[in-house]
Amino acid sequence: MRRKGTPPAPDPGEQALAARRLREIAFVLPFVGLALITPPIIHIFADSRTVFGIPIIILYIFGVWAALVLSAFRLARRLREEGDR
Amino acid sequence: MTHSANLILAVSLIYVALLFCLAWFVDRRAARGRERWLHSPVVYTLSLSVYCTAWTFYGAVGSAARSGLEFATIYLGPTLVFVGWWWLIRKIVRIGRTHRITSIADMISSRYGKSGALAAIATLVAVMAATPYIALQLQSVTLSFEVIIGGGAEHDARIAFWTAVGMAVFTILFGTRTLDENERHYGVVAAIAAEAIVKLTALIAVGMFAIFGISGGLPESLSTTLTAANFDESVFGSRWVTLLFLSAAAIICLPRQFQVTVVENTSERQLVTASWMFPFYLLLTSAFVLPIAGAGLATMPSDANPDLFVLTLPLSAGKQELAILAFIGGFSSATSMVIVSTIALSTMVSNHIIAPISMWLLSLRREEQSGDVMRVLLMTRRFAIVAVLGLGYLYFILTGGSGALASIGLIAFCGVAQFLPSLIAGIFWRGATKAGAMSGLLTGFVLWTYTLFLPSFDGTFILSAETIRDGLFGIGMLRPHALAGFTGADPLVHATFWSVGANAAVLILVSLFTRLSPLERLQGTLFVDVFRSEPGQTLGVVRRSAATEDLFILAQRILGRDAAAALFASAARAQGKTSGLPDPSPAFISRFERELAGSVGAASAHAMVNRSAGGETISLTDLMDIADEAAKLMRTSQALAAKSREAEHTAAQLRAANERLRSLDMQKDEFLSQVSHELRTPMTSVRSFAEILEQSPDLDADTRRRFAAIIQKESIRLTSLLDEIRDMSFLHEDADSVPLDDIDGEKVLDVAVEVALAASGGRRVAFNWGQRAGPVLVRAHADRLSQVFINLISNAIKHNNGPDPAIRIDSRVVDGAYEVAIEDNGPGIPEGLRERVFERFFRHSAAGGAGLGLPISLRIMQTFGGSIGLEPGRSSGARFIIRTPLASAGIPPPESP
Repeated sequence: MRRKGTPPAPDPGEQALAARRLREIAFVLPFVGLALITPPIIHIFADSRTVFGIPIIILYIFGVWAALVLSAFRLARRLREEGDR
Repeated sequence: MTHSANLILAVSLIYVALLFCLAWFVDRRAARGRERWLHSPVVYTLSLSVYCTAWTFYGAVGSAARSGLEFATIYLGPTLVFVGWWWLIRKIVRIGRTHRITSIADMISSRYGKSGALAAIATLVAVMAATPYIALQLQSVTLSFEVIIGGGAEHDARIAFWTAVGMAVFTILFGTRTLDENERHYGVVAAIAAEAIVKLTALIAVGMFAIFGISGGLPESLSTTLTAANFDESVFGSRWVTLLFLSAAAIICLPRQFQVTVVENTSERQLVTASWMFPFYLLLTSAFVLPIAGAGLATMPSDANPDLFVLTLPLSAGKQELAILAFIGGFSSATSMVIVSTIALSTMVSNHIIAPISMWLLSLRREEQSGDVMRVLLMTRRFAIVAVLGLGYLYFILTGGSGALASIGLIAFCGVAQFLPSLIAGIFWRGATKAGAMSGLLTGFVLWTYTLFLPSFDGTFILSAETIRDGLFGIGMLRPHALAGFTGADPLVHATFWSVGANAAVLILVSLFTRLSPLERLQGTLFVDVFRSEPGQTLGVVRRSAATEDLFILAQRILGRDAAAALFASAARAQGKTSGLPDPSPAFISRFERELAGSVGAASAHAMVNRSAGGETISLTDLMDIADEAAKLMRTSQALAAKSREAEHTAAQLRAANERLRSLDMQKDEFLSQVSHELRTPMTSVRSFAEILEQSPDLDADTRRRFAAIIQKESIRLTSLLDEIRDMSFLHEDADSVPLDDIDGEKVLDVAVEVALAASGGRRVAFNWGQRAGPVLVRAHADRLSQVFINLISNAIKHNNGPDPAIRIDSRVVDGAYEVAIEDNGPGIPEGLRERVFERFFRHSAAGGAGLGLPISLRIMQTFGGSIGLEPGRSSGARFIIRTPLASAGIPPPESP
């Protein structure tokens, strides 16, 4: 399943490198997420500031959460395409 | 206003009946092979949401009301694990599918040498850890029922009892109708997926009501939460990290999560989608927790139980339908958890505790029947379901059902986290041993029981209140909440630190000082290198011999007659047999064991097969082959090198063929230009003389005749040249199609000599016969052989410009060939040109033809399998030697002259 717009005969070496980088991102992603929601980083946002009346810590945690889901979604799509090749 | 108990009972029963119909329908379709949509990643992801139990539905709001954002850790941990699926879950799922793993206990025991003892211990830990968790579901259903029918929260034991009974019946009907060979329950998975939608819808509906119906907007609902929850930085301390760790461990280690994630998984594609969709489900669920908590804190009386806000908010606002939806949502979260949990636990109990005992008992009775083991196992699963729910009920009674839901759930989380060290070490470290895993697990389990599980009864069970306060035997160092003087920590952090930490430390230390048995080494390698080894390649490593009949009887007893027959027939086909039982090869026995393991667990299957097969030996060389990474890498690179050598060889051949083709092409071009040149010379003279004759009518008769004679001579030369060219191309095309006969070579030679002498055109040549071979049969074509002789003899005459020309011909039979030597006393051919005389259009002297005679002769001789050679003559001239193979049969004995 090749998406439209990809060149018909991509360089296999380039492709293997891209697939490897993809797997490395998949590997690192949970650790980035872990670092963002544990001390000390989380303490930066743990105070009573608000944005539009919503406490900043809530925005931060749910924002990181949504970003993780989005990254996982995009990774999953790319990894599945890799798997189909 | 509240609802009547009968209405709520009726709604609950209708809901359960609908679920049951769905499961029954799906099971029937699955049995007919029409279960494609069941394998969809969405159904798989929804079934994973069995993680969100009544604890999530009611308890998360309570937790948010009590301690703010802390509730989020329970869903952030699993989010991290699933976002990082590539790292851990992918490997566990692959191992589970390759080795037909049936439960978390099976996974651990299978990795550590298929140890039955380890499986039994793991089962015990799982059952103990699940007890508070099941009590939590009973408690939430009881409380929500009491609240919705308008009573106070009495923690009525009768409601809890009947809830437990109902759930037991329901699960037995659902989960233990058959002993599936894969332990996959399509109907249950479909029901769980449906419940996932129900509970999410209910929670979102209540959340929306809280935001827009009560608080009047999102920021309002959120800020009330945080001010009321008295939020501060201390939330993100050691407890925050501990909760993240425990929830991350639980999403892998909880028996029911292992069941839906690993056992029910049918393809890794499902996992790819779940990697983002499951975290998304958790995010959605959590997003509505804070607004509900905020609205509850703002509007409810201060003594209201925050665990029940989801239900009491719509009730107090008079939203009856919403309240019923909320009740069904909570009921659905509780039932899905109980169903999957008890199925998983009962599988573990029957496979790892009852199966070994019943095998032993049945073998004592000596009456072996088809499917008897299967029936025993199904019965024990039903009893195990009742027992597990009974334990949960007991826990509920003993603790009084008064604890906060979240704190009860966390006791279970910490309990199952004891599996984590053995599991992680098992799939990433080849050196982890059975002794290490077992002592680590036991240490962790004992510490968890002492520091968290028993104290949760508040002195009503085994540990007295004094012991909890002052330590065992009054020893301060043994206080359950301050072990070794470790005071000041939250009890959960304290218990997690000690139990999981000691578990991991003991596992590592004992593994370092004990040895792996060959089977442990094999399983360890297979687990750690699951992505590198080919499935099936390693089946022959364990060497056993057994009578196929015994194995067949065993298969019948466990799988039933039909399934056993199907299994053995397919194995026989795989071995290339059309009928009868398969050969009991080591590979077949191992495959058979793996099939059994899918039903009764690795340890029991191993023990059963070994009872039939006698002892096993593990081939050390094969084991080394798998285990030795270096050897494997070397072999891979050798194979690669061989492949590239092969490729190089092929390329060289191609290059050579290309060279040959190119030179042939060049030869052809050369030949064509030579031919046109050769044709041009006589044509030019014919044309010029013809033009002179035409344009000069006054030429005298003599000159006219002379010119006409030249034209005639040149035409003859042209004709003969064309004949030669035709011969040449004919020979090229039909080299193999010249018909060969057995002919007398000497007769051909005689005739050829006569013809050649007659055609010599009056030149005086002395002709001598030398030695003669006498009558001899050769395999050749008479006309063409004669053509060769005539050609060579005429050459000898033509090119002999000496004063006293002479030709001598000898013939003889030598080395199975008829050999004719034609020698002249002319100028001969210089040594450097001897090879070239056979080239086309090569002309040594001015006399004679186009230079095609010798190449044609050589070509003809080659079609007979003979040859023409050139030697210096005995005097000055050239000596051509013609060799023709003799006919194979009927060679007349050569006569001496």
